[in-house]
Amino acid sequence: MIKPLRKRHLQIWTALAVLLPLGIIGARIATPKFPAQTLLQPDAAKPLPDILKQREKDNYIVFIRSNPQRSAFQLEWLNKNPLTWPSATIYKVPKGSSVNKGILIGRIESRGTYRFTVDAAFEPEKLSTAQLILYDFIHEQIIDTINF
Amino acid sequence: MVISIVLILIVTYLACGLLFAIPFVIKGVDKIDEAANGGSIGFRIIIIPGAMVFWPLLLKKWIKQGGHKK
Amino acid sequence: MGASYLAVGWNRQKKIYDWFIFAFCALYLTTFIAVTALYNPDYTFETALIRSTATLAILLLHVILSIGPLTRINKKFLPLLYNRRHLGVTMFSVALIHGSFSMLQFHALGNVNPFVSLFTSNTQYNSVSQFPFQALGFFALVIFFLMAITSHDFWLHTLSPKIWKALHMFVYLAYFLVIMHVMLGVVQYETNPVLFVMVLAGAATLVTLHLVAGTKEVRKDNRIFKLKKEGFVYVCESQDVPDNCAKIFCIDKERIALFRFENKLYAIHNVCKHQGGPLGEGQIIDGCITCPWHGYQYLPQNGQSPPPFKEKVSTYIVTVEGSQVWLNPQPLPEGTERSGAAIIIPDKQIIENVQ
Repeated sequence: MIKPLRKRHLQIWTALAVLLPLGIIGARIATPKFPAQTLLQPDAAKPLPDILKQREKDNYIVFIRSNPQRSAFQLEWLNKNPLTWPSATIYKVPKGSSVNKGILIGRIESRGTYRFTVDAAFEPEKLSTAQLILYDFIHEQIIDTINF
Repeated sequence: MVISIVLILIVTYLACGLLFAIPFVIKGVDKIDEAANGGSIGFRIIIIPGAMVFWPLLLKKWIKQGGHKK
Repeated sequence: MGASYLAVGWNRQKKIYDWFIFAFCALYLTTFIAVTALYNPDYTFETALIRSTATLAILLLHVILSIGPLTRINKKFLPLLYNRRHLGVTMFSVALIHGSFSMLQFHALGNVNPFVSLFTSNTQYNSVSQFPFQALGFFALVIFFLMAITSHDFWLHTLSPKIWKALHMFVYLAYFLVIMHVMLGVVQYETNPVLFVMVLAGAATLVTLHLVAGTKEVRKDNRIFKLKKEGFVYVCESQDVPDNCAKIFCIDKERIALFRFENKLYAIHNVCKHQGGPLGEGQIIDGCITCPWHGYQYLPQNGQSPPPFKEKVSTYIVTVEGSQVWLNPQPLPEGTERSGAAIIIPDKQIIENVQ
């Protein structure tokens, strides 16, 4: 290497020493708090014992689960067959609203069972004013809506 | 829409590059770089992708060299 | 060395290096896919392949980017540098598999062209957590592609070393794009901090290595030579130069390598004609100064590559006075022959050697 090239390398890495931490930590801070599930281990959370609600569709079943004290809630997504879209996200929205007003619950892929820790807004009484939207975030299309 | 046009342009550019690359690696490369004379077949295959991308530059060099030889 | 081009200039060391890379990649991918199949049987083969190639490519990229500074910090890492380009092309191939399968899985299922889908399916460029990270990966792959297709020496000659090096410096931009591709992609769907910590640790390691090696080099470049006499400058004591090796001095902004060979000192320009490798960090092998980067060779007596090769570097005049080594930083024309400066070995040492 020649001297200008060494200098250029040092300049670039000084810039990267600033930009990389900014980018990495910034992106980390912006990470949404939900989904609580981990992408690499969809089965990580243990199922809660009580099933409060259940909706069955052709390819999947959705459960709202809770503990006996009703202090913790869980949304369980069970794919019966491989789905035709590779991955999608579940949003909770007030009835009749679009995805923009929704709260992201988690991401599911074409196979497997997924459990997401959710808040008390999933108590059966409160849920009557809300619905779930299954959203293909790549093609920006609503795949399905689920009412309880 | 814009992306489709850009995509078509890129594909066209690379297609021209492929058309150029074949005669270039057989003949042209020996003209513009004497070290390539007697270069192996492996070498000629390996430079094809690059020739597809940088073909305008190589074409310019080839034309220039051809002029010198005459 | 460049008498005539081959696809790859093979020798034993390169073959071992390449086999090692190949075996490592194959072992990594099969292990990753097997472990996924065992613990996450729900995952499709495509998903496992996309993730295994992603992690492997990033691992290789970190290795590639750390080789340069590591060799400057410790010469033991030089063998890694020798064939870095093969590692680069391997990394590109692995990343290409990742990119192709991701396109197939995420963008090829609709009726829109997958490339169009890549850029139009998500246009939330003003959002952080929803940012279309796929585009970042795509542009990084384009940079790696350009680097891979121009990795042969032919392109170094054709594009000129200046443009070639500039093009290959884009690897740093690509690295930044890759890191953001991970951070705005998979990390956004994860609450498990493992990936985040790994990315941060990788980046911190590379930044530290490059800054440490870089400042070390700057210090070497900025050394001031105070003792001057009739165009010569005092550089060191004769015993400071190890046999068959060199010491590098930066005088008047040029780096000069001072080699010791058969108890004579020879100075040549430090920059290899091939790719600008640091000749002074190489050794004398079979009587030739051998560049540590790609093995280009020069004779210490005249700075010329042995026939049939034609490379030549500038030479310099060295004198030894007692134990002091003096160097004239005025370069002689490339390939100029001059006699080496004999090292005066003190009588005492000679007696010791005889005993």
